[in-house]
Amino acid sequence: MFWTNKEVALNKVAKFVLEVYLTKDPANKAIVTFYVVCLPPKEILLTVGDKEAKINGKIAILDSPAFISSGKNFVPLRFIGASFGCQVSWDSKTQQISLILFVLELDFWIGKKEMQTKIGSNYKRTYPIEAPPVLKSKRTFVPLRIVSESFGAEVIYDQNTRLITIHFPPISKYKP
Amino acid sequence: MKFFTKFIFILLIFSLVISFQANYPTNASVTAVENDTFFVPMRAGETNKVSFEFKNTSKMQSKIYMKFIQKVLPKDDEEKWFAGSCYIDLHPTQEIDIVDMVIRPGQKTLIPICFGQIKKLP
Repeated sequence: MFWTNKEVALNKVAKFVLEVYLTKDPANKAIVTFYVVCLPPKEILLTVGDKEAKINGKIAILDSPAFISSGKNFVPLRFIGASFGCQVSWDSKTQQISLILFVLELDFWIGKKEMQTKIGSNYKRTYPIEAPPVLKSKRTFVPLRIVSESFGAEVIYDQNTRLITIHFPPISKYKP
Repeated sequence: MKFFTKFIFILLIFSLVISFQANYPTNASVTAVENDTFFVPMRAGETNKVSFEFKNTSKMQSKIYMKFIQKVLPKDDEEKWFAGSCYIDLHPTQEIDIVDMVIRPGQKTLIPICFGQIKKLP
């Protein structure tokens, strides 16, 4: 058996449902669902205070630069949505922001210290967040780390250079 | 006659309770294990490991068993996927349905599951 980085099916979601239980107590069980998708890797580089970013080495210009507030990095919603390749929607009435990537939906609200994660049709959870999205100069900014990590990405922040590096999907630390 | 009707009624209620108990665990701790759902983005050509927590909420020591009960794979793409246990450094080239480990009452354990896309070369 060989590993290859070619001829794999990209952008197609596979669903695996696993049942785990105790042999001596079958009622003591859990159903665990995994939605797995193979994606072309992306490296997103951006610097706090700088409008220029790089996605896989290509320069991308942000409407507004990333900034830090209360120790958290905020980035323009449209930029992070386009970088991850997800659908972005904004409801001005409820001030709700939704980012949808395949079967995963992240919902945020301006100024609200909670977020909602939906996966597939049955999974919905609400989590508290420290830094809610904000409106600044008519632009919507979202907390970078919470959005990126909710998508399963890896975020590295260099405090000295203020450089943010995002690996999506994360670089696997598991080597069989 | 009145007593007999009462007796039949109590008997009926009793049998209903017994049959309910047979199907539904009355002890909440028995079904206290949480179900979970994960979104797993994966790099082409790499294995991805996702761990979920399992807690023994029963009062007995037991082995853990696991099996895939549903797989929905993209059409014309079935052969390329694998999913399996990556416990104790096993290389999961095929799906494995048993975690051969003992878990004590009240103990929590992380169970890693590996996913990948592979290509068989001649």
